[in-house]
Amino acid sequence: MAEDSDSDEALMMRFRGGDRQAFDQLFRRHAAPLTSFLTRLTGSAAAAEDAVQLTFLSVIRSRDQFLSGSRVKPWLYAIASNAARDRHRRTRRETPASDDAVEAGLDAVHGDAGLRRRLLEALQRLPEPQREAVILHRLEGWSFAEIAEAVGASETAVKVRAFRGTQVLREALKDVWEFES
Amino acid sequence: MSAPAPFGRSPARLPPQLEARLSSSLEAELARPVRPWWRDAVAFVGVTLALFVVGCFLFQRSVSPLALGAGVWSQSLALLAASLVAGVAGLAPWPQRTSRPLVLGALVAGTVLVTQVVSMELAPFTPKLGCFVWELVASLVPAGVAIVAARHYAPRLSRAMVLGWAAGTLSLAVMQLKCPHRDVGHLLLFHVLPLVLVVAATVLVRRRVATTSYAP
Repeated sequence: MAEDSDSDEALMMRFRGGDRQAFDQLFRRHAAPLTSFLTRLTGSAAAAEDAVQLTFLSVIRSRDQFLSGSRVKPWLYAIASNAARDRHRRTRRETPASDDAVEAGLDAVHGDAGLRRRLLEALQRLPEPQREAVILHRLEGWSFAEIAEAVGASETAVKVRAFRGTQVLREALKDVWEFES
Repeated sequence: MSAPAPFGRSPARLPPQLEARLSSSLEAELARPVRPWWRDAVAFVGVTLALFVVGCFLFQRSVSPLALGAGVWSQSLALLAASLVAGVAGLAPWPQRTSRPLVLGALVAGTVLVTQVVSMELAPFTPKLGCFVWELVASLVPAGVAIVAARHYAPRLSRAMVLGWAAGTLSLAVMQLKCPHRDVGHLLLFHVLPLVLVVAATVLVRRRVATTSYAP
C-alpha cells in the first residue's frame, strides 16, 4: 500500500514490482508540476497535456529501465523534456499560448495576465536548453546538480545555460519586472 | 532557492477533469505486461551472432577458412566483439556515464582494427562493387533490429550513431572473411564507406520512426 510519505524512489521500486497504487501516487504527486513545467517549456497547454501523457506512458512502458539507486524526479523530467522535444520536432510548429494555457500552467504565478503572457512569450524565444535550465532553476527551484542529472549535461554547462537564459529574460521583461540575481 | 515572482511554484494538483482524462488514458497501458529492456539487447546479440555464423558458412565457398590468415580471423572476431559491445551498450538503460566508456572503447578498438587492416598492404586499388553491396546488405538486419529496439528509448543522435556503427561493424567483420583485397583504396571505398553510410541511414531512419517510450 503506497503511503503519502513514501519517497518517489520507494514508490517507483514498488511500481516496478507491480504495485499499481504506487504508480497512482507518483502520478498524483508529479502530474501537476510536470504539466506546469511542460506548459512553460512548450508554450502550449495542448502540447503540454500531450507531453504529460507521453511522459507517464513512457514511465509505465519503461519502468523496467529505471535503475535501482537512481532518482525519480530527474528521470521523470528527462522523459518529459524528451517527449516535448520530439513532439515539437514532429509537429514543427509552435502553437501560440492561449489564455487557457497560461492559466493552466501558471496559475500559481503572481502578477497580472499580461505579465504572465510576456513571461511565457519571452521563454519561448529562448533556445530550448536555456529555456529548460531557466524553468527548472528559476521557476521550479531545482539545484544545478539536479538539472544536470535530468538533462544529462555537466553542472557548469547547466549554469551557463541558466545564466544566459536569465539574461535574455531580464532584458525582455526589464520594463515590467526586476529580476533577482 | 525560492522562485521569485513573476515566477511561482507549480500547483500541487491538476484540475480534476484533466487529471481524470490523463488517468483514463493510462489505464490500458497499465494493464499490459512490462517488456524487459534486455530482450532488445538479447535480440541484437542473437541476430549479430547468427549473421556472423551464416556469413562464415556462406563465404567458406569462395574463400577457404584455412586460406585466411590467423590475423584476418582475429581481426574479424575482434570487430564482432566491438560490434556486440557497442550494440549492447547502446541498448542498455545505463546512464551515459556508464555506457560511454564501453561505447568509446568499442569505437576506438574498431577504428584501430580497421586502421591495421588498411595499413597491411599498399597495393594497387581494387575496384569491387560487390563488397560495397554485400556490406550494406549484411548490415540491413542488425540495423533494423537496432532501430526497432531504439524506439523504446528517447531519440538521441549518439544512441542512433552507436547502433548504426555496431550494425555496420558486424558486416565489416563478416566481409573481412570474404574479401581477399587488402589495399587501402579498396578498404576505404568499399568497406569503410558502407559503414559510414549505415551509420547515417540508421540516424535518419530512427528520426522518422515513432517512439514508444521517451526514457533517457
